[in-house]
Amino acid sequence: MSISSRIRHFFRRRREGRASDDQHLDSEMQFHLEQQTADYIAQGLDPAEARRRAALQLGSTVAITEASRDTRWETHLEHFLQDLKFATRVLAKAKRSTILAVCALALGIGSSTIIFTVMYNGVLHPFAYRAAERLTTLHVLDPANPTGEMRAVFHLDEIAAFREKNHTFEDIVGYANWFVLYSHDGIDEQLHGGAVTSNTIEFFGMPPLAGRGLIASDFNADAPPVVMLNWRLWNSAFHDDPSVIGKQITLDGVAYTIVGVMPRRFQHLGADVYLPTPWDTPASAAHSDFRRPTFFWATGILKKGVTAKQANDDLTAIAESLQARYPKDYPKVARMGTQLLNEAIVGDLKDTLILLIAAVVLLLLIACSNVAGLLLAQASARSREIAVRSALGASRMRLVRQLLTESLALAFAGCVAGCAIAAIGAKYVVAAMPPGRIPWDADVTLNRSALLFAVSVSLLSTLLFGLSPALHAIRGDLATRLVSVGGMGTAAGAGSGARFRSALVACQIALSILLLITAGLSLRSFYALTHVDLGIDPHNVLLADVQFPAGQYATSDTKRKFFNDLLVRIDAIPGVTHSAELVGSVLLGSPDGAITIPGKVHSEEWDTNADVVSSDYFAALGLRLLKGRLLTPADEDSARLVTVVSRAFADKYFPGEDPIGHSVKFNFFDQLPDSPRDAYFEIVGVISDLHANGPKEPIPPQMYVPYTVTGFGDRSVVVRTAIPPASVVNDVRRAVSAIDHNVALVTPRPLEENLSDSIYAGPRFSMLSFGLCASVGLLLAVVGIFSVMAYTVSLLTHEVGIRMALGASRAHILRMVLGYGARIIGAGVVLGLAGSFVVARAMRTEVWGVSAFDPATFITVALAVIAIALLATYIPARRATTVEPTIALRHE
Amino acid sequence: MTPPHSQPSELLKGTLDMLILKVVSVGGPIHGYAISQRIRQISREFFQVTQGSLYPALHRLEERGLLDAEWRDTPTGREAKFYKLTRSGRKQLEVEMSDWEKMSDAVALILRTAH
Repeated sequence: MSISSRIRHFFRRRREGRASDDQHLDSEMQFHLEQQTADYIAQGLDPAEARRRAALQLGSTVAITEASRDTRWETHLEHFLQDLKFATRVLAKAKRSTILAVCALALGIGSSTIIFTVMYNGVLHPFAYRAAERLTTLHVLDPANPTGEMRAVFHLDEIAAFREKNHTFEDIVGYANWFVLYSHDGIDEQLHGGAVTSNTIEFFGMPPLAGRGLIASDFNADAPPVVMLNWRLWNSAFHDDPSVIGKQITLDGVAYTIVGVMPRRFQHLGADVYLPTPWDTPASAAHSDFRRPTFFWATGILKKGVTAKQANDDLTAIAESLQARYPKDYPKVARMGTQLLNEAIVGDLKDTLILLIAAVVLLLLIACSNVAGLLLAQASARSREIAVRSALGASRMRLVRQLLTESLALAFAGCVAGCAIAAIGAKYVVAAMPPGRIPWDADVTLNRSALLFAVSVSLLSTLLFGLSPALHAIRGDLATRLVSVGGMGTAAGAGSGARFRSALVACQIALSILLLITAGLSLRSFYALTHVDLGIDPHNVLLADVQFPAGQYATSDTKRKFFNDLLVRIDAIPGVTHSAELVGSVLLGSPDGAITIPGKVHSEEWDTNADVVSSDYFAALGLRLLKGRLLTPADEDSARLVTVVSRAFADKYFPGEDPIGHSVKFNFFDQLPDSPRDAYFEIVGVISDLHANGPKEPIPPQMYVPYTVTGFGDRSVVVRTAIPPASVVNDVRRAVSAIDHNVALVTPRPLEENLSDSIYAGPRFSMLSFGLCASVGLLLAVVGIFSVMAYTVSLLTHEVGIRMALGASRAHILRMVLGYGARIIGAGVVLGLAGSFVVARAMRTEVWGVSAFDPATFITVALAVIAIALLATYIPARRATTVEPTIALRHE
Repeated sequence: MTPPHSQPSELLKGTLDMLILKVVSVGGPIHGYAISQRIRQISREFFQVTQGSLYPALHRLEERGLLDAEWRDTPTGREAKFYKLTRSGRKQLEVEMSDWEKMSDAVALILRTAH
């Protein structure tokens, strides 16, 4: 039928209505009947007999009408709407199980949508830039070097050469970051500066949010200084004020005019301010004004259809010509390498996220089997309704369709609720994630792809939980169900349906055991990690870096004067108990290198961490003196070559000896400017250990020398407080400015917070997310077993009545019902434990400080699940024993 | 529920449509009862087409645009629904017939040769 005639048809039907359609059908049948009758009469039958035969032959006109009507496509839609109406009525009537089912589905769909959103929007497609999927970083490879990569930074003129001479990239940008001092309201604040090349705005293809982007004329050598703001800085420091455009800010002592603000998803470099850097910036880095970067990263947009190898070959040819200009910066045989930016993001989060995806899939399966169990119980209870509908002429197909429509309605409700959960949950998950894993450019929200995912998952789970109960409901001889008036107490309830339901519950228990063991192992790892004695108390400790202006405070003497003054001022701040100077950071990286101890012969290289500290450092961190003495202010003042070593140092290099009085040389000093040459430090004391390389690493040997022995190195301060350390930050900052206005206190951070972000955040995230999945999974499984047991008990009422009438004791009945539940639970636990060994194998990289096959975890989880599931069985079982035989039998 | 199929011989699935199209193509505008009679007669009483499968089939063919139907008076003055072939119905018939011939030739060949 042509489209036009179809439409004509449709409208004719609409006009004439279904009733007239059926009327036509009726008169067609009627005509048939009359013709047949007439034929029979013509053959010699008497009229009454002819009519009877004709009618017999025609059969049920209702069935024919129904079958003819089914050929129309409007009928399908009509049936669907009818089914939907009926489904909502059925679901509304069974309130308790509908609510349970929708909750289960919402949790399953919601959690999988959250993980999808985080994975898809946060990790796989974080960038909203033009051609984001073709953004590629460049680096130099050294094929002779086992690790491969040599450098990922370039002189700006190298990048310019790559940009001009390549044939495989649409464009290439160069960029670098460094710290800029932002002076305002009498204080200096450290900002992340981004040096960007003139093609940056077109490259990323993202228009500015306010004002204008950096344009070609901004990059002229004589152009007035301009700056473009990152949205985060605009938001936090300028409170989204659009009038900042055109205003001036002072960066590194120079007045810059703000020309534009970039949108939130432009987070190139993560810089606060973007400063134009001309392509012809001299490579010698002889910037007189301030510390401008000398090395730049390079990112390009691959042309469409270009492979990584083509790009690498293309760049390698250019690199060969650059090798002559920078012979020291290239290996003998250089290769250029590229990496897609999207792929670089996934990184070490991948393992956790893959496990997490597996976890939410398990959760979704639990939810689906839970709902399937509920529907199955319902379908059994409705078996008579289904039999009646079948007897009235509904085909099996029609019945399945109707039951699936109910499932679809459930899934739809679950999907809506799940999306609500995901919309809120995704924010929390992102907040709980270890910082720095998801790029700031990402927009982890419930966008179109996430919604599409949620809908697909809902449809898929409809089939998963809806199909088998529906098929089950129409199985067997429907007519016999009408005969057995007792209905549910017999075959329909206790037969294969019961087996299927039990299998579903066993699966839920098994799956929740998998989740619980995953969660248990993460919890144990996290516990092990957080209970490593660090050797110091990180509570109430503030760390901050001190940034000196370029070229100033370069000698040990000037640094000594500065810190002598500063530490006294900091100590005077109320709430501060100790303060000290150090090089590096506490627990997150110390200088380390080889040592020489006179009189000791050893074949392998001996090394140690060497901390360059002021005398109060030990008191500030709470390290205990074990032997000898600590460093003193007198040691500092005369830069004495004395050292305090850690117990690990003493045990390793002076086993069974007293190290005091021996001397040790930190070889690295020989290579550092303004440092003692060939200096042997006399060991004057032994001090308690600390986990200087973080709790996951073994305790390294450690030596401490007076900070005045060398002028080299960026310096930091560590402040021990009696009050929350964040509250003294401004006082410390003022103390610094009071000595020299040009010195800045940067990146102040409480030690505890610092450790939490860097060391504990990853394991904490695993623990929380797996824990949440496991708790929800267990809850669903418990609800599953409870409802199945409650239903089974309701089916058994009759049997229990007979048994009790025949003299069975209540204890006997309780044992019988509990035994039934215990068998299901046992099967689930065995299945779950078996599967857990597979899961534990996959978990090995995630687990720390505990075996992935940790017996305690396995046993605890198994026992806990058995106990909780038995309790969920016990309550309905108790109810079975309260059955009054007389009432139960009257049930018949 | 599927309507019971005819005895003695159940039509091969899909062949009913072809037979209907064929009968309609030969007999011009023709009503349902006559179609069932013609199929029975032509097949020498071999195929019994029950109304339970005939009328759904007619309506399906009409829905697919292979048949066109209109209500008009029979010679006896009674109003009946008359079916006739559409252009696509004729094409469909040709396709089905050639397919059928190919298949029955093949089946016959196998029956003759595979001893």
